[in-house]
Amino acid sequence: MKRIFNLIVVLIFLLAAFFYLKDFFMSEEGKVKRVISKGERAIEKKDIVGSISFISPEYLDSLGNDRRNLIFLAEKLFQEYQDIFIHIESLSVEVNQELAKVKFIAKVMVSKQGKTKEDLSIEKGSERFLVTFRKEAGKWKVFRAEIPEYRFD
Amino acid sequence: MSKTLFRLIVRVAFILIAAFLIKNFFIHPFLTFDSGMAPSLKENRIYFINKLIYRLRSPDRKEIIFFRTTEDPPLFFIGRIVGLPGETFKIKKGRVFINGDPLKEDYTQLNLNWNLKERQIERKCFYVLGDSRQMDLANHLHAQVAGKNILGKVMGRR
Repeated sequence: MKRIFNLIVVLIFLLAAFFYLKDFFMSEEGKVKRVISKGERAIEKKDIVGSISFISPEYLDSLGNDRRNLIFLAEKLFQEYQDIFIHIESLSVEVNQELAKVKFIAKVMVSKQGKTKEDLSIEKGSERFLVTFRKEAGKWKVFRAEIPEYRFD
Repeated sequence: MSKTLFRLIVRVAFILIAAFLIKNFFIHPFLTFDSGMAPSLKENRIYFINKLIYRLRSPDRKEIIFFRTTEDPPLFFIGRIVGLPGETFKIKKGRVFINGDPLKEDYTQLNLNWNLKERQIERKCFYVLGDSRQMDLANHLHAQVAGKNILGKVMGRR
């Protein structure tokens, strides 16, 4: 019995060590991708605190928004739409010391409930994003974001 | 390995290779994500793109095309060619003018608020508009598209 108990303790210790140490072995690209994935899930859950936790206090985007504006916009978005679904594709991450340049396409589907149960409107869209992450206190945070103009020439 | 199993593997491999070649070089399915081409194309429908046709001839006016943005990763769109290379293009009170002459467009309803200054379409480029014109011109995708970014023609639609 004691042997089994010891074995379980060792297994729990190894498991905890694995979860604690996996960050040390994960590449910086992997860490950035994990932040994106967590951010995506936080937005889908309409978790404002979780969504904003990945944003740098010095955040700025090409539309002129800073972090405060972004919080306001996120609150508005979460109130307006019932369900939010995000699919990220063509993700590429390029890490250069404390900065990471990320390119991806986000396909977004949102639903809005009308007055009746049947009155449900769905909006969809896809957009290309150029996002710069910056390492702040050991964590990757969204520092700059840009939605580039379409070019067809 | 039995002969039957070998035949099955060969058949499955043949089907997969044929599907890969057809999708990449001949016919490509595309799901319309928005209503930018309504009423000609419906939202949330799968249409098929003929990827071979523009290898054999040049795109023509009024054809519904499938095209991409230049950057990587690209975004994909569907639109209708209204202007050809070298022509002049303008919109006045919703009506499209090509080389100063009005273009007959029976596939759409004109938006009288649309106005766009005359511009020359560059060599090897085409001017593309969507058929749905209820929104403001600023919110409507209209662009000069290089021939190299045109990937094919929507099949079965005029």
